[in-house]
Amino acid sequence: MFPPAYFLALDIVLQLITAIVALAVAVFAFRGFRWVGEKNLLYIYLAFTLLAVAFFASGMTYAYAWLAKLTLSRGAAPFLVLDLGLWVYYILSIGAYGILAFAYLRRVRDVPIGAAIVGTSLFLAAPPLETVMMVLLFVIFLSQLTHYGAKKSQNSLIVMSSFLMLLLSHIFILFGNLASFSYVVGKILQLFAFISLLYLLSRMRGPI
Amino acid sequence: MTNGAPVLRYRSKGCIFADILRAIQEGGKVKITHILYKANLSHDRLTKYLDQLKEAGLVETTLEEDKTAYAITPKGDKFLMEFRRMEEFADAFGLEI
Repeated sequence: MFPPAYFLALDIVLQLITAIVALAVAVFAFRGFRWVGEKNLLYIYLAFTLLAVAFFASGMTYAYAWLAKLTLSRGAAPFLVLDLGLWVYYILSIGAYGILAFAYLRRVRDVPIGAAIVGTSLFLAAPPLETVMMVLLFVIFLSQLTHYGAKKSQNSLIVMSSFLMLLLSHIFILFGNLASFSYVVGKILQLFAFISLLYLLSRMRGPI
Repeated sequence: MTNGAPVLRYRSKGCIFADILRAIQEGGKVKITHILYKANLSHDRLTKYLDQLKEAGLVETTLEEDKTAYAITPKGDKFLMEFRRMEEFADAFGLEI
């Protein structure tokens, strides 16, 4: 899904801010992984590194489109570059959410069978990439909701809310084809989701 | 159903190190029997891990009444602080460490 023309410049800024926050989460998790050597921290690190690269790639793609619109007489950037940039964004994002979903599901018995069924259905149905992301985000959100139900901690609430906002943002972005305003709402939700994660990091900084 | 028995779960090496360091930190200068009880490990495994912790500079040993006593070092304190922080971070994501 490509942003509406009036939102293109702002979308570049939003994608870059999101990339920086995702990178900050990745760095924090990597630091923990180096100290503790725990696999789950490695999964968080890998997922947020992929997200950071994905958001950076889409930000750069939009920047290219924006600059091309300003400089090219045809008024549009070559489709190959735009397609490539968006494919990179979708593949890396799906990889990132896939890693997180795996981190949650690997604790459950019979996961290989469940994953094979979900994977085959997704492959055969060949849904839009945005839908694949929504399915993965839904799995992540459900796992976090279950965890929050058991723990009721404020930090869990922050992470659960941020992934709920991410899930909703993809639903709004999917409907961006019908109404461009929906795309804008989706992107604002995405920004709030990552600001919540930044707030979580700020809570982790102080002495325990 | 666990019938009141404790639920056993896999502990990573980092988690075992943290359990040992917590036991030492709580007691100040402690003998191996104290750690053995708190960290829930066999004597052989605990000795092996204590050697590794000493090598990494996280614990130090002294002789107290002809027996080896273990104490946590400032580096060990830092490891525990970082471990707790990461435990909280992973827990926020609903993941265990």
